[in-house]
Amino acid sequence: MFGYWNLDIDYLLLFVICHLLFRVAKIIMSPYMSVLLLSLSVPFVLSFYPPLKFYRKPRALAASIAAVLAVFGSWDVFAVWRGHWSFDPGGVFRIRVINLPLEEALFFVVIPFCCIFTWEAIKYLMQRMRR
Amino acid sequence: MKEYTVIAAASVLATLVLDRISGIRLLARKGYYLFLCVIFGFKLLVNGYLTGKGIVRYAPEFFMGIRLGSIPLEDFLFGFSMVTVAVLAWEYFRKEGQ
Repeated sequence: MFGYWNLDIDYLLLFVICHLLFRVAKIIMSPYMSVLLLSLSVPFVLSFYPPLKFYRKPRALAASIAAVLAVFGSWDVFAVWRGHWSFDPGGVFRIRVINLPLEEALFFVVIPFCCIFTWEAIKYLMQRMRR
Repeated sequence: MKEYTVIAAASVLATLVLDRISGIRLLARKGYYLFLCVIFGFKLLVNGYLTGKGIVRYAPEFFMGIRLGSIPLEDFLFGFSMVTVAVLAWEYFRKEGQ
């Protein structure tokens, strides 16, 4: 009887912990931030796959991301300043980088990373198929 | 002419010129088109979510008003330029370091 009881307490605890984690995540996560983290998750983990080698060139990676951030970030700053587009305050953090939400600035770091990963993965796969 | 439309079209032209003059010539590679297809799929997901949920809102006076789903046509030009410049920069810096 106590055995069952303990099991129930365990599940109840697990449920409460998951529920609390979910509520904390809802408070500290904006929808846009969740999208960024989801986009980054798979490329980031797979980028450590040894044959891809591209994490061995951190300088080239950083330089490429910096170039995209500078050029397209400036475009975004200009567009927001001109009013081409705007952001729903409910969808992003309040933190601003110049006039962009933090997430929008990070977008120009995350997406180039994902692109370069995809590019290297495709080159690797095509090379393997040729053999 | 709408501002966002003009800037987006100009960015595509600039990207194509950059591809040529850098000598990297991504457009001449088969893998690049496969890359574009893969990125296009993920772009639809991410951009579609951000525009569909209204997290990013577009002012009607600055773009043509043509949308694919919830995504303005100009966003595809922006996206093309950005992902292409990312790969161009990577190919450039990768070789420079050797």
